[in-house]
Amino acid sequence: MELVKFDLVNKDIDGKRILQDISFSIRTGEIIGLIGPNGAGKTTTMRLVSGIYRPTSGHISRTYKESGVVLDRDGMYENLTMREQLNYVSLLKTGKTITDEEYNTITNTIALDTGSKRISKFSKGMKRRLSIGCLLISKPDLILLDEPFIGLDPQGQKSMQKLLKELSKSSSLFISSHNLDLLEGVINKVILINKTILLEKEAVNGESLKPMYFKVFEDINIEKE
Amino acid sequence: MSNFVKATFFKEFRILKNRGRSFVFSVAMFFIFITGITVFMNREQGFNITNEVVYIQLYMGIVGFLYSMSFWSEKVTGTLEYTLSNGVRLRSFVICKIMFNLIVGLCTSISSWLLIMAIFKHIDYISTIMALCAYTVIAFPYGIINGIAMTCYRKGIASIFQYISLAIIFSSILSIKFISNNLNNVYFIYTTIAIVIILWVISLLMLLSSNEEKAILTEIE
Repeated sequence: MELVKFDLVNKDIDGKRILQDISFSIRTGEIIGLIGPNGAGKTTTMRLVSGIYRPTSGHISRTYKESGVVLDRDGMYENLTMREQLNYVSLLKTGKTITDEEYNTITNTIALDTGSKRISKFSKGMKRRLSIGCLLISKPDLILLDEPFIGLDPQGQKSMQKLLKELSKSSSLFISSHNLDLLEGVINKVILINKTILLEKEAVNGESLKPMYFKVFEDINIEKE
Repeated sequence: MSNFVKATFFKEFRILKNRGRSFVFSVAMFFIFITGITVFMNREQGFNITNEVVYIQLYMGIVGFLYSMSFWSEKVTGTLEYTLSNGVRLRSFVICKIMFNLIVGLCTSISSWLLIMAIFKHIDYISTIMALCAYTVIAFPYGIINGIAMTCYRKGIASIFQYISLAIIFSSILSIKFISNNLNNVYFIYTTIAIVIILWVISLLMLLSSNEEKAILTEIE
């Protein structure tokens, strides 16, 4: 089932074309890596998927029931505690605060329980894990993650990979990153983007997507030269 | 009540509670300062207690309202984008936050009225209700102007609005004599109504011209 479908989408910002003729779809069960260099239009694509941006031309259809986001800047209220932040998201999504049981399940999954410590005192990795914890409240059918590995140390990156695998059991994931290495083993489809889609490929039987990725960028560099 | 209204009121209340001491201290300092200065400046020239109470109430309402507003930090920390990404419309976001801030301002205004009542042994319910109504019709459109400016406009323009807020707080002190002596003057009332109408028109125009994309895009620049 198609959760999101882009049909020849163009996006201009301040008269400058950021995305050109983008067509792809996100289906149930897919874990898509949106890969591209800095400034390739990954965040713009994410914002188009979430509905914050409207396309300049083309059409986007959305059929998912519930979506969740993890932003590169996390978007946490620094003056709140972990439980207060989870309660805020829970109220936003379900209209109710979380129960002790739900709180314990979330803290066990993300391996984080900070008690009365304010979010402003959290490390980047802790904030990122809490962002993932917020997703566990409403169990969305589509999760958008914008650069989830950015700012994390190697250990944090490993635990993020583990959390993404956990999330992929119940949701479709659409992950933007400029680093394919970190997404290998997590994603089952890659979309390579640089203003327009350069490559869209599914990984069959755990095949590595890295050689294709390097091949495309090699070709771009040859063209530039 | 929609989920977003519940979530906003919960979150704003917790944030205010978590910074409770500094908020209460700031508001209390303003109250002591404005009450002291009002009494000392006007006592020699026909002290009109009803007008003083209305003035202090209005002033304290605006102080509580502006002190609890935090649109800029929502944008800087990415919580604005997070909320908008979860399907909340920018207009709902701004209006909902303002509703909470209005209640905070009403609380500071009523608290200051109770204190003044205790200090001066003066009770005038009609002027108190009038002051609360005046506060609401002024603060609401100003909150919208401020909220939209902070979320949708470039940093330079948003900063101007921050300075205007500070200017309102501090320049109001200079208007003590004028207000306390002219509150019953018909021209003063007409001028106030004209200002309120202008504020509402500007706020509605700004609200209509705002959208989510604008709020996110200005951040990139």
